[in-house]
Amino acid sequence: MERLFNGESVSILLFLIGVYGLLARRNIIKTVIALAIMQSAIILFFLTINYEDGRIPPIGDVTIHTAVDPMPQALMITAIVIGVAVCS
Amino acid sequence: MSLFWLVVLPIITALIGYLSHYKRINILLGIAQLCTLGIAILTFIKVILYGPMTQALGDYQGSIGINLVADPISSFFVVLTCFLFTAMLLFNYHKSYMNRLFLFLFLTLQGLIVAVFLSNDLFDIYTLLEVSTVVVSILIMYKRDSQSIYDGMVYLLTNLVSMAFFLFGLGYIYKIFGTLDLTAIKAAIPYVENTDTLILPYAFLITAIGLKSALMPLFSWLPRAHGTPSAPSIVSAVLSGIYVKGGVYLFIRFQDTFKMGLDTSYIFILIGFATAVIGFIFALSQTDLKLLLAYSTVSQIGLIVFGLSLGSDYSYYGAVYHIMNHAVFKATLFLTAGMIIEEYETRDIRKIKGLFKRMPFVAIIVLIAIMGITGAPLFNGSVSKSLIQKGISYQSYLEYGLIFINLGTIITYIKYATILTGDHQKGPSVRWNQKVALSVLAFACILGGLFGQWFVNILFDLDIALSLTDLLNKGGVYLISLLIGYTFFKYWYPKIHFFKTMREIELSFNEIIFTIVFFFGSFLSYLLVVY
Repeated sequence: MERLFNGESVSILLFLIGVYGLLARRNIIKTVIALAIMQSAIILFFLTINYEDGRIPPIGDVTIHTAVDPMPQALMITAIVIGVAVCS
Repeated sequence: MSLFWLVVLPIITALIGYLSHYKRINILLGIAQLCTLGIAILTFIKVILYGPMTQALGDYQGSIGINLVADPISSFFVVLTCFLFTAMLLFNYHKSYMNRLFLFLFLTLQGLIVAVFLSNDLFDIYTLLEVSTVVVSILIMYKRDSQSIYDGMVYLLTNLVSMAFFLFGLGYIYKIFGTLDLTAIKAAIPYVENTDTLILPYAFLITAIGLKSALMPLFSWLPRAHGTPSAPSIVSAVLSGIYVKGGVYLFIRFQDTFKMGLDTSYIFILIGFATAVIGFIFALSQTDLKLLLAYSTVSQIGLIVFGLSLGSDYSYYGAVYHIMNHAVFKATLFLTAGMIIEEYETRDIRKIKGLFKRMPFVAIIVLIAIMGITGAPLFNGSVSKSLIQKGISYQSYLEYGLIFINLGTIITYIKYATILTGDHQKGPSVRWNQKVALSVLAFACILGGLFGQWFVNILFDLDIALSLTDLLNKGGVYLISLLIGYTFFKYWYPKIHFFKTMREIELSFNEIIFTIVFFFGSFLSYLLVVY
């Protein structure tokens, strides 16, 4: 059960909910909300790929094996900024 | 000279122009635009002489940093973009709506399109496409009447949805490869043991790119955006001329990257053919000048994708050359359409008559552009179309498909050419700047045809020797197609009610989203069944 509910499956589910919202609702506010749901799904997906327990933030003096990959976080900050700009 | 200036210079000068209240600031913008064009041409010559250039921002080499790559094709697209934008600015500089805000958006769009052509990183491409979507939708809504605001909103929302698909696919790519650099991904793809893992990200990315480049079920946003009544004609010309080509260029890049893992060229032959046929059927059914041109763009995109997927070098590079030619003549057609609409104060093709008498200069330019797009011998369209044909001369049924597509284009433009004839008194003369801009574009149409072999040789290293018999042969086929097209248009076309029903079709926003989901679902299931 724990294996099934990982970030990937939850984010795909959220993404599909967003797509359903776009398909079935004609109200433009709800369309924007559905878009925001899709954005959140993507952010969740990026943050949970390549996740492993026990990794530390890549700040200061760490070796490459114990630190998490900082790239998805950096990408998602940009994506959040873009999402805020277009959804509001 | 650094490649980054190509992207940054228009944006910086646009920003200065926006913030400054000095009246003569437009001179600075003009000089900067000419500088950008000069840098683009220099870069192109350098790339041709010394081979592809790669530049990284900062000191991060390889796939870590942000790279810009200029190879012969992308640098030629950059030259084309700068050339078209310069021509548009010259064409329109006396108009009242060319204020600081418009110039800011317009020049920013130029920088963004150039960056899309040069960029080598998927996330950069995502950001650039997202920003350019916002800029383009503001440009569409620029005159603020309700129809164009509605069209602009539909454009914005559909493209945002497609970019969400793109970003999701990008996440999977990052999960598999750990990098977003296209060169690195291309190098890594042969080592992917299980190509099934590539299917989902590929379907996500192709859905987004298919919407950007207006493939078969996903094109219904394009006529709204490109043919919306009140958008300035230079915006329509830029969108239809070069902005859609950004999507097609990304399609080329992605197919090139993924072809080692997933070879989907066969399905894209079908999709391209269907897009071309549906495009010209829709174009033929329109009575609105700009909508006809917009649907004709869909048809030509179909032809380009068809040519790209045929799998022979000649067709591939013929299609790339057709992208460039289409940019030139479609921009010319949109600009002249804007002038015609202003002069006649109607958009209905049936009410516009006697262009030769009323605006002789514009009529000649329109005629040259029509000769180009229908592929008359010695014009640029004929070179690219004959290259596409040369690649498939061993598969006769595909060749007939190509002739069929061209016949559709010819019939569409016979309908368009009905505006030329008829009687009318002479109208006012054309301003000098519009004359210069249109002459340069029309000259490019003829130049691309006369020196087509030479261009193809330099750009793609392909040798095409066209003999006199070839030329006569093509001229014969063209004349026969013209004759068939004319007979069809004169005698059968008015009797067919099918076109009238096609004209009524307009998808709502939800239906457009449905086409996106449908395309994604069917493409995914096709890939899952085949691989």
